[in-house]
Amino acid sequence: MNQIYDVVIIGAGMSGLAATIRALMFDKNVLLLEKHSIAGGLNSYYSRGSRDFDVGLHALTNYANPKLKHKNVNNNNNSDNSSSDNHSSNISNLRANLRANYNPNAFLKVLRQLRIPFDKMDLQQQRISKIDFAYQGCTLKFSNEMELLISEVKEYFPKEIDNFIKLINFVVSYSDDNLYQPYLSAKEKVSEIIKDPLLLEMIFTPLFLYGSSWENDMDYSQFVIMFRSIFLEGFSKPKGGVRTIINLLLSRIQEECDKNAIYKIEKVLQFNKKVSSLKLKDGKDGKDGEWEITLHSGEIIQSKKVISTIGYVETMGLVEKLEKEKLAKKDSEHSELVGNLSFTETILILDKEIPANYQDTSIIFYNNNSLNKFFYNKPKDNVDSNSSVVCFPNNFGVNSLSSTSSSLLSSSESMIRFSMLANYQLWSKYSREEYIIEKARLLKTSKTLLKKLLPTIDSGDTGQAKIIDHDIFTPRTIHKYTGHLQGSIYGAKLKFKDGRLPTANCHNLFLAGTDQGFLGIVGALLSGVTIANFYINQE
Amino acid sequence: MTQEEVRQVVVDIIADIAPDEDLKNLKDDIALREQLELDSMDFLDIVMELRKKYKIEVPPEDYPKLATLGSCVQYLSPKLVN
Ligand SMILES: Cc1cc2nc3c(=O)[nH]c(=O)nc-3n(C[C@H](O)[C@H](O)[C@H](O)COP(=O)(O)OP(=O)(O)OC[C@H]3O[C@@H](n4cnc5c(N)ncnc54)[C@H](O)[C@@H]3O)c2cc1C
Repeated sequence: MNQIYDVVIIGAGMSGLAATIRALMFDKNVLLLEKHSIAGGLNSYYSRGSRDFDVGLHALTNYANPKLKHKNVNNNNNSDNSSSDNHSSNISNLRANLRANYNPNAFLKVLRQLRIPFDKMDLQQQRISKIDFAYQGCTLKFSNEMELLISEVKEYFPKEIDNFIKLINFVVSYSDDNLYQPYLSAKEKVSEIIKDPLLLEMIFTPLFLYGSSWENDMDYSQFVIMFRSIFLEGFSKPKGGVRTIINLLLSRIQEECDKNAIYKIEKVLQFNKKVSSLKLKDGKDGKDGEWEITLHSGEIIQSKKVISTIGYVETMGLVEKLEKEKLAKKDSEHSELVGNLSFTETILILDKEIPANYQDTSIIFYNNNSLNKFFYNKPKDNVDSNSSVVCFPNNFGVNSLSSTSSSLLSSSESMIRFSMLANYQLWSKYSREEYIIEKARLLKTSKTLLKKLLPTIDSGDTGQAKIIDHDIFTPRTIHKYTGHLQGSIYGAKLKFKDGRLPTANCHNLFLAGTDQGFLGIVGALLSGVTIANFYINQE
Repeated sequence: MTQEEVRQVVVDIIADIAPDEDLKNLKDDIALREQLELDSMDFLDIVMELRKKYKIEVPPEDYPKLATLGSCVQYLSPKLVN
């Protein structure tokens, strides 16, 4: 135990990989520890039989094409000026506002910081996504061109179109300096602008599902981030799925190691290394010393700094002295710190392509609640069968009829994925037999929903696509593989936006990833980059 | 190094940092930030590359001297003598 690292990073998910690349770029002696045998974390990959699966990737948010700057703004210089109606002039004002205020896209920013050329991501854009409130019979479509959603709102909520444009203007003009402000209810703030309760719910639905750690509300600054990243920028997906992203990150780590003879990738990036405790040693003259990182195997590592990406409570659990304190806390206090929201994922494999009349749809945010409301909370049952994110990974990229194109599957097969809000406590306490039964029930629930959306599939009619395989994972699986308490995907309600732990004795220990507050894949990458930039070079 | 070479050093660094930007028509007297989508994080990377490739330390108080290509050449030329 002779060497002292400059920085040890815990967790080789998106944020940990990104932070490691930056640390190497700063010529720091860095060690990345991952308990699992492969990288990726919440968005890793696996194979079953002959098929490859992604754990979680439906879509990347924040789509932008660097070759078309301000694509959302310039693309239609057409008829706005010729028509004199109010909405059109509002829309051209909106364009002017976008041009003046829109800051560089977060995804491009991250790629640049990591020196990953955009083209290597091999992105396919979404075709059309839908917010489908089935019970109300109301669907809003959106795509990577903001105009589509605006025209949908105009058609289905004509009274709200000016308010909606006003909302977009607010979001565009929102200064990034406000991103670090304390919590403000987005529902309250947005309902001052959008008056129709149904439209309000519909706007929030994708934003909750792709980025809120709160139940039925979110922080206003997070609302702004998600609104921009989904409605103003949009969805895309690497053709090769999440493996493309992980492989690019790993080869950047390799490249940086190659530049410097003293780094070897197998020394920098170590798998099957679970951190079991963290201890800040006393230094000389009453100052803090180094961190002592103990692994499950008993191995002890020393480092000047630690960046943890495993979550706030999870990290505090490793800091020996504070564990008892934490355990003494009442459950209610705990709920601020451990996320309540988890999901099940059902993956269905079809023997044929997605039926032709459904090839235009990339993602459906489905809600069938009779109460004019989308309930984004931990369900009472083990899943909320009234709502789901339904993703068609094959329906990305240019739709050239013969080649629907996700390279994960052999060309004739296709895939449909369902994410449903789930109750971790219920899933975690089932016996083995009960667990199998409940998974079978979930499969049935997913198939019932599929029947509603695409009735021809598995109908038994000749020539129609059949389900030939499936896979299911639950909050229990997520907890087991990533260590996130309660199988929580978006982490604690409370975020630590400056990456600092609000506890004494945590000098030089920083948080990145989910609990730092930037959510999703792009968010996690940005978080890793930002925290590394900010703290790694600091004395 | 000639002024032209010093200019090229800076342009090459920017090309590394922002491979998707078109750098052919950069003006020497207009702020880089106004011509390119560089933000403060990218800016720090220019400083980092100067240190790594040319062992030049740029202290924070001198960052404004890197605002335009012209001012970069002025500031860096004496430091890039060999
Ligand atoms: C089903 C599902 C679908 C999703 N869909 C999307 C989507 O479509 N689009 C999107 O943008 N995002 C999606 N996400 C969210 C996205 O995957 C996450 O936000 C992101 O990957 C989080 O990355 P992270 O680095 O913050 O955390 P993690 O990925 O959780 O990284 C933490 C790492 O730390 C490791 N670790 C934990 N404890 C220890 C320990 N003690 N010692 C060593 N290592 C440890 C874990 O194994 C893990 O690898 C989805 C997630 C899931 C689960």
